[in-house]
Amino acid sequence: MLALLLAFTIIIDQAPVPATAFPQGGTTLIELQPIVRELGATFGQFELTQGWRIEIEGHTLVFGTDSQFVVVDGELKSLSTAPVIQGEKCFLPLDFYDGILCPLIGAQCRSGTQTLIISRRTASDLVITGVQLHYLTGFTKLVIMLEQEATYSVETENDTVRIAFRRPLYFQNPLPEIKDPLVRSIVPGRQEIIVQLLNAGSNVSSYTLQSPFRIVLDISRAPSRAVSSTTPARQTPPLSPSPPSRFTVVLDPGHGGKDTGARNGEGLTEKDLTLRAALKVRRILADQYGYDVVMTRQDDIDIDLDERTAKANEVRAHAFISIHANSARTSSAHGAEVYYLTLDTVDRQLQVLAEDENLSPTRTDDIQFILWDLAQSATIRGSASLADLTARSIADATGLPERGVKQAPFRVLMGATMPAILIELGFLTNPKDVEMLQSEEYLTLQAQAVADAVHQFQIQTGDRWFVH
Amino acid sequence: MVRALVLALFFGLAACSGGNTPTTLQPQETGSPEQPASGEGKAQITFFGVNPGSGSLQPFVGEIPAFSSPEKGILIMLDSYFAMKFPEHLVSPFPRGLRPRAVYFPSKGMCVLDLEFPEAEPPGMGSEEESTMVYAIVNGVSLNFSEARSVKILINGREASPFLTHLDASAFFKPRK
Repeated sequence: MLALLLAFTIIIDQAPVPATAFPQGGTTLIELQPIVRELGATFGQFELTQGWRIEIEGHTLVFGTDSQFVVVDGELKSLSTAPVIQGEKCFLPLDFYDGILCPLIGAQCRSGTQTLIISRRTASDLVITGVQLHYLTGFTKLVIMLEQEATYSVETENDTVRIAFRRPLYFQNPLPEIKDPLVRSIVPGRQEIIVQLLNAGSNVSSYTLQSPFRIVLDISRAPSRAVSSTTPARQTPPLSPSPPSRFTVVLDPGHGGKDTGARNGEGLTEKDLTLRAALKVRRILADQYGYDVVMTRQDDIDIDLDERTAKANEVRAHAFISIHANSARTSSAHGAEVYYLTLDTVDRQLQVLAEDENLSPTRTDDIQFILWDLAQSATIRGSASLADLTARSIADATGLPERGVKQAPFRVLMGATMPAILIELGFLTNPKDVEMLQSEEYLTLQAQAVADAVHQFQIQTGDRWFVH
Repeated sequence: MVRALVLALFFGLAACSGGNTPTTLQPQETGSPEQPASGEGKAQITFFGVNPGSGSLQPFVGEIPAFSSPEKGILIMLDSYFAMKFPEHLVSPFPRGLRPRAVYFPSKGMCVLDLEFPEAEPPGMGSEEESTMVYAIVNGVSLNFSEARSVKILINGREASPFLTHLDASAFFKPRK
């Protein structure tokens, strides 16, 4: 057996650990004792049963040499092969380390044919809270979420994108399973993330979003030219990005794709109505007032709620308007309503914890949280003003009674760094409202009223609410 | 009964019955619903239905079987709430088929409700309908059970669901008038 010992490298927290290993049954069995000792665990053998016991960071693992199972905190986990004892050494398969031990203690584990690297989180680590991959129409959006702002660079060469960081990375969650027409794999490294593309020469652009800090890569197929390119390294966004040259409005037709929103039972859906209305508003804002207008969707597609305001933040819009149609449990409710964000009716975990534990919010995270709240308060004042103008404008244009401006904790308005409102055009559960909303003239009347309100808002405020 | 009366006052029933309009009524924590005296086997609960005229939530008092813990009480209450025949003058804020799956308290005062909606297709609600449903649940749970100061709603074990497409499903909601 000794003749089969592998030249195997084990690194724990960047320090090499001498240990032996050997291949068996398609996997590699790795010596346990030096690893658990380095990780600060206690390790022992039961005299009677000859079973083994590891105590590590408050967890207990028990296993035997003739069984492919490990009991972890009382729960049974299976191994690819049973542990092997050689003299005083105990060998466990690789999947024990990367599939059981590391997740249990919150360590990262990377393995190759001759290496096992275990990294525990250190104070200097940059925490990646998640990596998401979304395939949208014609392009893929890769979102890397971080616990805090970070300096990074992006380099593209052939089919490889390298996102490099100045500090070691700690991945809080597993990377997503890749089923994407443009991305082959995402490989985490100690100080980098390597994205392997399916097509060499794809177009890759990157930008950042805030609250929370995210690095976003838009990946699209290159026009038929197979060239290797190196995009210039991008750092974190400039401290004072210049505002857009023209007043910019982001229009968000609510729902889309599988998410129909409200339905009236006769084929009218909120998602279709909101798109029709938003396209009308766009035309008036662009043609009559000369504003830049960005749509979150122009087709019947699914878009995450967070992506909608992210789009507005990305283009540094002056206003974000989400357009919806309402429904109620009774048919009597009718008319248009305008909402803006409130956080009064929701509890934040921090507030509750602070009350319960008498904590003072002094940690960096908490300060970030408070700053975010302050920024929200500033934009909420702008939102209130825009909502008020819009509600009055719609009431004046349609002659319907003003249902007033309301506040609600709408997800789609959260995270917007500019005045943001949600308009409910009418109720799909009210026959009179439905009749009006199906008429092109009425919808145009409402669209004109919304555009007029935006123009009034622009005259009143200019760039005052531009807080990026 | 005392708690039911406090809730009724909070939601303006006293104002409807004549006299001066109360101005600054606040919900008061008076503990979980009054447990029945031995042998009675019932607890009084304040539920909320939709007033067809105004569209707003209106409280009414009902009874549920006695329970041994807030978690069990909330489960029993929601089971009854979702399936009940509402008083004639009110409409249920809930779609058919909604059922409670689990109730737990991850932290003091914070209650998580995991609800089940068996149909594959979401009910397709506008924001008013969604808000009415959410706050009927939040008000019902939070104002009847002082252990639940704020309430988070999961549907089929998940935060992001086609059920909650307007309100922030990650939030712990506080009761709203």
